[in-house]
Amino acid sequence: MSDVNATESEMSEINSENTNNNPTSATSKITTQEILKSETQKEKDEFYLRYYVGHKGKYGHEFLEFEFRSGNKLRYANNSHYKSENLIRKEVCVSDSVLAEIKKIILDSGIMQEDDKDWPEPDIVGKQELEIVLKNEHISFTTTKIGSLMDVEKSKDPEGLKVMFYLIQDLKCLVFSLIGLHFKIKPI
Amino acid sequence: MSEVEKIYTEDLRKGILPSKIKGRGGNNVDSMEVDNSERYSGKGGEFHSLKNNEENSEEYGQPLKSIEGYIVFISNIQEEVQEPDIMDLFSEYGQIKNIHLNIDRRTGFIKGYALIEYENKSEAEDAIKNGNGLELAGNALHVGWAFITGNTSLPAPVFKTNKKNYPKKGERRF
Repeated sequence: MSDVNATESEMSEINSENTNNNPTSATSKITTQEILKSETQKEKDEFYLRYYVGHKGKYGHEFLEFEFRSGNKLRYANNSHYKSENLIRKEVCVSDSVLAEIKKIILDSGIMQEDDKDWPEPDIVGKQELEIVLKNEHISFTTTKIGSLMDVEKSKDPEGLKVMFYLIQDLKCLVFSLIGLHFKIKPI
Repeated sequence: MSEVEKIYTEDLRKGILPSKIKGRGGNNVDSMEVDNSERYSGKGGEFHSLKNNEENSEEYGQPLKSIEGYIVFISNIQEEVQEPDIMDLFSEYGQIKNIHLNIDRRTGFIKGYALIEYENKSEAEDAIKNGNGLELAGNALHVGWAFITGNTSLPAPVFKTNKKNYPKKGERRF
């Protein structure tokens, strides 16, 4: 009970901080606890996230792909034919708290409000795919590889692409930690 | 890009899903299909996972051992907290073998979660029991397991959801 109060006061604190320091971010922060409490079984079952990045070149089809799907399953694939063969396929079940953190990252990013129509299309440099089903919304975005923020600024939709750019880094960071710690491999 | 109607495989989703997909990935008929069968054909479709060797391994949702220990997941960490703060707090329950406190790439502050590794299950259990709800820099920490045993009775998964032409029944997808 005191716990709930603490969370609420934290919430308002975070919100006010948010408006003071970061006026560009329109998303209100939600805690992982609130996500866990508020979501229905249906929403929980339907949650889906898939990210792919890859290209075809000198060393064949090199790509990295991961997905979170119902049953709390995290799947991770990393393909490279560089220096003979290197095929990594990992699968593990994550807890609800990990999933809640991922949903929080997605909701905070604002990606569900974006659209890929003005993003650079996949090309010879490579391709990224991001597919998310969250709270009755389904997005499936594709674009080329984004090398740096320079590429983002030059694009037709820098604000939207920036959301994608940072979200992908945050998601990859979490997935690499999860896979790295569980299987003791160092992705990239 | 226009939104298109989608059909989902029954085994993947029991209910009715959002029927609209936003984004080019939803209706783009490009190399994706080819890609997908190529990505996970042959050995590419074999996923490696760790088995739980304890008695309760058949049960869903039990703590799962990682290669070198047990991983605890901490969330709701205040953004200015630093690694030594977490180390101090959680060394109480056992020697921390590994810690990941990842940074928000946009703000430079921490993202708000941490993963720590203990060698023994009892240490991790202690950390979860005593650490959950603990206050750090004004935030009540949420502490739990990172990995759990899976539900082995679930049907074979389907990797892609955004395509109309699903593989035939029984055909391996991922």
